[in-house]
Amino acid sequence: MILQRVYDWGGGEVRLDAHDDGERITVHLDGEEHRFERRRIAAGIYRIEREGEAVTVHVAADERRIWIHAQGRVFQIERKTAARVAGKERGSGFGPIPAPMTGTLRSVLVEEGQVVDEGSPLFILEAMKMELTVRAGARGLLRSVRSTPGARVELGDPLAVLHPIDPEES
Amino acid sequence: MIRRLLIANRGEIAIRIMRGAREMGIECVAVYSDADRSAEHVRVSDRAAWIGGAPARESYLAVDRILDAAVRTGCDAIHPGYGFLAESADFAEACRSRGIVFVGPPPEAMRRLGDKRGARELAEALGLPVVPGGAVDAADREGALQRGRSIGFPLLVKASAGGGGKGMRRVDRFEDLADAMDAARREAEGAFGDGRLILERYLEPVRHVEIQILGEASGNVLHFGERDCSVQRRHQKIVEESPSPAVDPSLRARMGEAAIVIARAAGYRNAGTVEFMLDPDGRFYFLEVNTRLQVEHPVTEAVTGIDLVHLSLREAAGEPLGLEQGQIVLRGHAVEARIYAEDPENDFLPSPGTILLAREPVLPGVRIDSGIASGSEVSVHYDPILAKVIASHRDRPGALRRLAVALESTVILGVRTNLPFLQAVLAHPVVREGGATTRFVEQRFSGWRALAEAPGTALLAAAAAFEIDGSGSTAGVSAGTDPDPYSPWRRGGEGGGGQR
Repeated sequence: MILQRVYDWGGGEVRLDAHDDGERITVHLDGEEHRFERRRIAAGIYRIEREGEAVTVHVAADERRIWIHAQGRVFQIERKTAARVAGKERGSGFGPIPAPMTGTLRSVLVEEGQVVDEGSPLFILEAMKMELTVRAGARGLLRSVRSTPGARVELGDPLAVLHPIDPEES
Repeated sequence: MIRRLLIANRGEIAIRIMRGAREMGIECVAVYSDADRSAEHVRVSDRAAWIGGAPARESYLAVDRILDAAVRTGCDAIHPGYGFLAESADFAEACRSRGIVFVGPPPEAMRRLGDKRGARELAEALGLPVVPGGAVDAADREGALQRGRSIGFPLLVKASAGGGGKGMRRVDRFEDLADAMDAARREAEGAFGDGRLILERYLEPVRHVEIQILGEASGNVLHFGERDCSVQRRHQKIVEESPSPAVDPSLRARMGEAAIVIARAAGYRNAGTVEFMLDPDGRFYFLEVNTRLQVEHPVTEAVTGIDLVHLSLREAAGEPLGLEQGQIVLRGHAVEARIYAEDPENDFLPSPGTILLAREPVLPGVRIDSGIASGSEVSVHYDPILAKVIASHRDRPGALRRLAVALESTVILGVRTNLPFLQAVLAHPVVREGGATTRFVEQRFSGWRALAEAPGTALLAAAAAFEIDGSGSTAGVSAGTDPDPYSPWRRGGEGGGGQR
């Protein structure tokens, strides 16, 4: 079997080209070839060996990423094609305001079209009995405000969109 | 004699109580909400009863639904676990009026001690040292603010009915007090249905040291030594140990006696915990009483060799315990780490999702109380605790080494957990030397990040092999196709909901 994948890891891109016959796997990475013996121990558990050194690895995957546990640590490899969480980086503070966690929209403290200052509380999210206040990253105008308290939101869902205030209007 | 026990809880504590009850020949009935139809505590139960919707208010906090389930399934007793209704005197009373044994203290004692305000006042009346502060009326906002100002900062806003760090906030400046009180009240109302507050001076540096107690119908109260729970983040305990590195036999005897004094004065029965703050000079201050079995009870069990769930069930059934204070001796050392579904690199925000793969290590001297398995859903509706890992050894360094190995060997894939954070905390010299105070995590680990390191080519090979074996499918390992071969609970799902 041949597998070609592009993974994201720690901001970097990994282009992987693997050939696998069920016992040996060859990985081509940045023009280099790496050969391993591989043995599947159980579903999601592999033993990967090279030159007499072996490591036991637990692997699982969802749509977004591949999770790997090896030597006491967990690694996550993002699938390149996966949907990315919007607005993960701070930047200007304008644009979609993503839900910082999955949970319930407890309170909506703002209205459509409202002008808010940097740091103003906008929403209160609740998950697992913990409250989290979502604040404005900059002074701006709110559009597309999610306004249904009690609604479930997923990590990364836009709660509102923050627009710069047009200097000519104000 | 209890014949059939309903466990009004979920997750690891429900499973732990089920185990203890089964060991005594008691049949168990689990309960579940819509969100928990295929939860692990249901999967491992002999019998389970549906009690309502996913929000706790509609199920695990719904007194009538739980009592109806108990009656329907022929249970003669209910164990509330911790959280949910465990500290609800109304619930204990409702059990009593329906002729069902509540495994816990009598409602009168719960009212006296479970309420932080009442407990403080009782402790003061008994001459126990307490932290400066007191109850406030949150409706009288101005009065409450003035009270806060007179207590001084930093101070702690606590829910009168609280526990587990919920409804608790540290406030450093007067300007932040009003917001903190509002948030604490909302959280407390959500979690306990009771929004009353206490303001207390925030003492530092202090350790959090608590005494496990158990009261008998005769009025006798036993203590089981202390637990040191100083390693906390946001007032939430994450590592607990017994004995405390700061407590010697004489201090233990004095703290034990103080705990017994207040428990006896309140007519306490069954398991409970009296919490203290301990300052560097060995002075202790009464904090509160938790009128229930606590999350961290296994470390006490490990060093005393006594099963607290067994004792609670026997006490609740009115059986004599046949145990004297002199027979309770701490041997060796035990340390517990709590595994949460939360992201230590993102402000410890809860990280709900599906557990794609879970594997617990089987090691000598290591106990794992887990509420999850491969395929479990970590719901947004409940506390994000997944499991507790407890390591014991004849000495403290040995127990810490065991715990480190156990955590390294614990595999949880699919949701972010605090495992890497726990590993870093336990490896810290302050913890290794036994010097942690309640602000240790905040002082040494704020803004903590795991070491970023690219996975080696061997791991990429493993990822590729996994993808090839899955024939390009993006689905991970699910419980349906892969019943966890390592689960200690694989003894066949009699009822309980099967493998899905």
